[in-house]
Amino acid sequence: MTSSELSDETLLQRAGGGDTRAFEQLYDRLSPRLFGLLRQMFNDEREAEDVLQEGFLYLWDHAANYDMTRSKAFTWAVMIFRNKAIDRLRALGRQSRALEAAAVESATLEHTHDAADVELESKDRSIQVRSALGTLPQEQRRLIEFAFIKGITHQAIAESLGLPLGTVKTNIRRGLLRLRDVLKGGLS
Amino acid sequence: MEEQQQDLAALHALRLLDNDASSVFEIEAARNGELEKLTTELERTAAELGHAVPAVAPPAHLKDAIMERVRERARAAKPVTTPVLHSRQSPIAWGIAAALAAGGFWLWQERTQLTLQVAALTQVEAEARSQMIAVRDERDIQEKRSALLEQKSKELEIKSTDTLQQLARLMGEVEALKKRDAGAQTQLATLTSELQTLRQRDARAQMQIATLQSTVAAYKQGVAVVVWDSEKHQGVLKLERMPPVEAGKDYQLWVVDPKNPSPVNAGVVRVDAQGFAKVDFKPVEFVSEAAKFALSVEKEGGVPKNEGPIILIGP
Repeated sequence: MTSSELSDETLLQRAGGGDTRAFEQLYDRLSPRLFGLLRQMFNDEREAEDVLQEGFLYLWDHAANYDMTRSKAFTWAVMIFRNKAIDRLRALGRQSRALEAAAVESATLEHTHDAADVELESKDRSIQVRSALGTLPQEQRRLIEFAFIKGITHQAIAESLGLPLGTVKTNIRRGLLRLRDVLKGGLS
Repeated sequence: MEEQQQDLAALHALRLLDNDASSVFEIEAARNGELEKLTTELERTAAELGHAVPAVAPPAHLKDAIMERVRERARAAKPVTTPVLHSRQSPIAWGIAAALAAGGFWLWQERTQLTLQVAALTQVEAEARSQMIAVRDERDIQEKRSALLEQKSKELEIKSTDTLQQLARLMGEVEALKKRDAGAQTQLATLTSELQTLRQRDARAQMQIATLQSTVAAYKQGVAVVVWDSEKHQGVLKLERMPPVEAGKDYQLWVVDPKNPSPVNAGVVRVDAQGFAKVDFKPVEFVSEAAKFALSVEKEGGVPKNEGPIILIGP
């Protein structure tokens, strides 16, 4: 089996064993999606680069702890990178900027075609997730995308979108549960 | 599972809770397997959204920088290999080997110590977590108790208000009754007084006073007054300046009742030397109405029916 045929999970496990080449390959596979996420979260190229670097170093340091039976490598990485981005946003007090009108408007998962160099498997999964999002009522989808990208508290979401707190909570719960059910089988 | 817990699981999965709320929720989830499972599922679902983000290639220099640092770390992590001298005879080699063995043993000891320390710290962490859960449970109980007490307090307050209102109403009624009672007392006193007056009037009305007069010259100077109590059916006769009766005779009093064909005997009256007498009398028969009183002179000791001359009569 060539290294290009190895799964993300295997590459991550190898990286946990100190294999820098495996890690480099993993970087090539994961970084475009993760960088896209960080750019949307920060709306700032420099901040996104900093967190991408910080996140990958963390991934290298903790790759040995990765348990492929619990989650896919990509979802594990998304959780790590998103948490780091939220920590940074909150530490910088960027809530106010995140709530700017322009930022609110742009806080959706844009439907664009992936670049040609994105892995086929990732493209497939991307289509599946977008399709699952498409099954949600508009308000649920809007709130979940906004919450995922902005990483602000639900109170801040309610305030910025001018919605009652209960509506925000209910829509996020229902939307996320439905998304789980639609994606079930595809999740590790 | 309650909707509120599902709400929190969803918010936690998207990291929408603030740090404090998040810590509290994590403890709750650690105690509730079902909640923990749901949270994990939702966390993964949320992470899947990363697939929906448009991919953007990061700058090439970023990869170089990251990989450079990764390689540095990889190098630093690799164990240091010391070239071994392959000479069985060399005391230096044996020395190095001994030093390495001693170092290895020391490292093994250090590792053992560290393992023990980690185990101890893990134990401490578990205990701390357990204490946190216990404190949270206790706080929950206290909160429930407080809520219950507050509710009871409100109920008592409402009851107290009702009771006070009832008391005020009763006080008002008591006050009104007192006033009414005072009025009744006054009225009673008035009525008692009136009754007393009426009784006195009635008593006086029942008392009949009659002055007896004579058409006979010998008795004209005599005075005879009868006070008759019709209710008691008795009376008093007072005589003054009456001439003495001849021997073998007595004065005798009679009551004239219209319903009785004959005057009713009221008894013999004896006067003293001055012609004075005051006697209580009671007719021998029932008198329905004392129309007149009469005094006659009868045989000594009196007679059942009037025989002698009537000397005084009245009114």
